[in-house]
Amino acid sequence: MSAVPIETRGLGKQYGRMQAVADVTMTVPEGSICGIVGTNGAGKSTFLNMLLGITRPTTGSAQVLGVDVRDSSGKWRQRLGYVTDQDWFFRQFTVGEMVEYGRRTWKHWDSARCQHLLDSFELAKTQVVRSLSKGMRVQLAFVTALSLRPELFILDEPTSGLDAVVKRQVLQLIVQEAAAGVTTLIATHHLSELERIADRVAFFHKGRVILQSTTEDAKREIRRIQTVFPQGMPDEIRQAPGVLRIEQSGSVYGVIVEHDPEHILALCRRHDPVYLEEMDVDFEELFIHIMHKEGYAREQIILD
Amino acid sequence: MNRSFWTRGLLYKEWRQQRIVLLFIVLAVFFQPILGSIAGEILNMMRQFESVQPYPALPALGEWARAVLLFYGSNQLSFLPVGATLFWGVFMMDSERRGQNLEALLAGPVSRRSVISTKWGLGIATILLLNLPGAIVLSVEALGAPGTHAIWALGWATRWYFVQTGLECLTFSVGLIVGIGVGTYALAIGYAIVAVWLPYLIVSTIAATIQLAPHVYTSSQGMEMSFYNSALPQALQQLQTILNPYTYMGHAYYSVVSLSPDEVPLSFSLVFPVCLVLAIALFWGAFELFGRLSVESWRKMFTMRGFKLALLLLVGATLAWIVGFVAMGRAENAIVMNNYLLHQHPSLIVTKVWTVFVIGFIVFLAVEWLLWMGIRRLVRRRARSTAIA
Amino acid sequence: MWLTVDPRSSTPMYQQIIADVKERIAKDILAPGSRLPSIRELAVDMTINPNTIAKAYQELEREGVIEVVRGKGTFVTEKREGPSPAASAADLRELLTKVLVEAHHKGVAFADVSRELEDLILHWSGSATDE
Repeated sequence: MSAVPIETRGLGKQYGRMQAVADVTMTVPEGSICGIVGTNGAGKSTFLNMLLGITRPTTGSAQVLGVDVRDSSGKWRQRLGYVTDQDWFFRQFTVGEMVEYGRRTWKHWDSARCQHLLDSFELAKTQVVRSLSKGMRVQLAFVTALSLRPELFILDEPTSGLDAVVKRQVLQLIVQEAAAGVTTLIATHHLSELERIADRVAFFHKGRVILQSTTEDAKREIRRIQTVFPQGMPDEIRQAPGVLRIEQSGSVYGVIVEHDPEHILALCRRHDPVYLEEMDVDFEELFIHIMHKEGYAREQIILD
Repeated sequence: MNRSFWTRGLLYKEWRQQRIVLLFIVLAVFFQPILGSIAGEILNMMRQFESVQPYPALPALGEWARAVLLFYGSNQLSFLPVGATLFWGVFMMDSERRGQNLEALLAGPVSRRSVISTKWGLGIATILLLNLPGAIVLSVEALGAPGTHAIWALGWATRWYFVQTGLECLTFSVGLIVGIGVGTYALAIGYAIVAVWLPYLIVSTIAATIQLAPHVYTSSQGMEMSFYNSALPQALQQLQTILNPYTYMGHAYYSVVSLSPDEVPLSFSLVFPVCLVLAIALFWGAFELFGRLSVESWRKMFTMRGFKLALLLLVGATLAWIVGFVAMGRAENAIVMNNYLLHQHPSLIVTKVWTVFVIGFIVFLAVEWLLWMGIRRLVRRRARSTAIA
Repeated sequence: MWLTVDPRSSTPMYQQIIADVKERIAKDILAPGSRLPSIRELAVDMTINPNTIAKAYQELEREGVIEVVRGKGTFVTEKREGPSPAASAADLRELLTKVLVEAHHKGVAFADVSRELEDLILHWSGSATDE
């Protein structure tokens, strides 16, 4: 495979007056696991649907597995596995019929692998899809998506509705495929999972990508400075540019800083703190602060 | 040509999805002659009761065959296969929407167009095949089966096949294209009925306007004015006959197949080619429409509002029709639908036909629905028992 | 394997892996010359991005803690050639400073810290020679 698995340029989708996705330029290198993160209704699913060729982009272009997504023949989806938590399976089919459909549809269908996966997930071929639980349907979707021997894996909320045991099983499958060179695009709200398995991440907000980079670089965008000022936080630091937020617990302060924390660190040192340390933020914090910066925040609700 | 029309997987999927519905189609198309023969016998008995000249006596088998043949495709029940194919076309697309299968389908290596062409191909092939046995029976009968008289010409059987098949292909295609555009199942059926009836309704409305215009004429009592004008342009009458779906569905007055080949106007021989061309045109429409639409716009294409508007139009037109007659002092004709008048003025049939068609269709849907639920329950029970086993 | 990482920790995951491997080697759980799991095995086992593991392995190889034998696998280096003594000393100093800061906050006397450290040294050297 020589072509870049996913390459979009100025990709956008407009529904009437609503701009669902705007100007997304993204390149996902081969073998990487790229996370798509965003607020609800940020355009993640629309973006994925455009990559799948289900939704037609209104602006820009996208190449998936080396082929323009506007190509209507659909042959380029031979090596594309897709899993979503949405209820989209042929409900009246049995698992066996589903497998049979897959065998006749995908050129590189691997029957042995399929059987192995069915056994591992404990899915019987006689079961009717309608009677399966949500988690089992997701597992069946994984069976199909993996049995077609994908080069590209597009996952939309793949772990929602799965119990912890199966979730782990599924995540391991994703990692295993990635180690074998399969490129994965995964949209999810489970940031702690993503943090483990993704090496790239893109944050979506209101149809735009507000940050995309490797996970490490993403973590450099927002830093936390943990410091202790027994006499209270000096105002100079509070008002310093680049300080997004200050959390306080006793005399321990967490200063959330944008981009380069050096000047804030220097500023802190000048006020002679008892303790000073620069820290990584985890994905969840990163997400919250980035969204906060974009004006998306929710106040804590206190019930009486 | 870089378009794939067929995929083995799609064909398999359609077969698995449609097999139960297919059973209904077989029922509708196959059992129509049997139901038709019963209806025919009742009609015959009524005719005898009314001391209308009965048909010449035939040997026992011939009697049955005649009853079947006479009403095969030419009785009041012949809307059944036509309605069933319409229903099927709508169902094919609607089942994808309700099952939310489309994303799953299109995320695979198939094109939108092949989804449509597989459905259409399967439908048309089934219709062509299902009508073949009927045509063979008719042909045998026409050639003179042992113990019976050859009562029909061979051309009669051929014409029946082509008219019936052409019409079913057309209604199937109408159903399919309407199924693409409409949000819900019931809505799709509504639209399909509108699509089938609208041309006739428009022409009939024009005809009625002409008929109901004040008409001055000279009689023995001198100049008289009437609000009833029987002088319709010949072309308009012809057009009305051609556009009336009931014409092809074997209404007693205008059955294609109950006329002998000599009596058949040229327009009837054109039914099959015209229907087929229209069916193919509709298929291409569906093909292109479905190929261009994105899934979301497919879902949102027609709204409930559009349907209500169309329904309002139809109901309004029918009501205006009846009210017009009442106002003209011809209420008894409008309501009782005097057969003589109907025969003389075909546009008056619209009200009656409307009632018969709509009620018939509702009954048909209800029966199908009940059967459907019954079979589904059976299937589910079987699935459950296998799951437990 | 037995490695655990905490993605929420302030230390990057690959550094946690490096630290973990080093600790196992120091505790002699991983003997010199023993084989480490492949990147793929470890990634699947830990449910971690293979690139993260690869990065940790690269770093460990660069530091001379492990070595990659082409076609055979990854092994713990027989003879440890650690980083330059000066660099290690600086690193160590920084680490110990952190400990002292923490101790100050918790109100632990530096003498206690020293005693604790001696205890630890005794314990570790004991387990390193227990064979």
